[in-house]
Amino acid sequence: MHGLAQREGAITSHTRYQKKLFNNPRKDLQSSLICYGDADIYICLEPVEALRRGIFASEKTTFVINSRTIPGVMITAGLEKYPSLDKIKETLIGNAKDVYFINATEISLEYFKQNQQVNIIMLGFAISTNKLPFIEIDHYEDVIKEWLKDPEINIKALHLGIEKGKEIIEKMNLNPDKIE
Amino acid sequence: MSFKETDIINIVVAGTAGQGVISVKRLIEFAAQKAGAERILGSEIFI
Repeated sequence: MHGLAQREGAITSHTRYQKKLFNNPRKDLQSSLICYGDADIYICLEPVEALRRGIFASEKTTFVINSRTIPGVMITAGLEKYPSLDKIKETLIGNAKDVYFINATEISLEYFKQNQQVNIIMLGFAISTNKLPFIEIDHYEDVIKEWLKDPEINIKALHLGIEKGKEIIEKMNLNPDKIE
Repeated sequence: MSFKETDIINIVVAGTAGQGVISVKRLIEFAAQKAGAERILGSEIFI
């Protein structure tokens, strides 16, 4: 199958997990869709995509955003303007706990000479926020070894994302207005 | 913020086509499975 998403089309996914069930259907995880305002973390590979699905965010949500922009077709056609990163941050911060930016594309190009590791670096960044509890790094490594091509490169990218993420979170906590 | 084992963890992954959104989603789901999560659900939205 192909053509499910248009070139530069928006892709969103929801993942939900519950480590231990209550064994009470009223309290246990039943739906694959997140309720509005109930997201714990957003992993955004493109800044404007963070705004597009912002309805799932609330004061408990942490955003990790790749700051490299990919202007959509309306912007390249000159019909709309791409908002600045400052404007995006200002919009999100009113509806989130934390908003962190990282230029994962630049990091991937610098360390791997290709941008194919951007998503794994972003996953590493998300792990460093401690918003993906009960999953150890070994579990991610096992899945990468089992399912991805070039597991060594991807595991290196995961650790790089975690390391850079910790640095950025530390810096941002000292200077909340800074965008990486 | 600390989570209880019975808490439901909600993750949104967003991006544009070809950026690897679904790969990240599945990595998290498979890793959660390896971590022994008792229930894992997900959905994918393409525009």
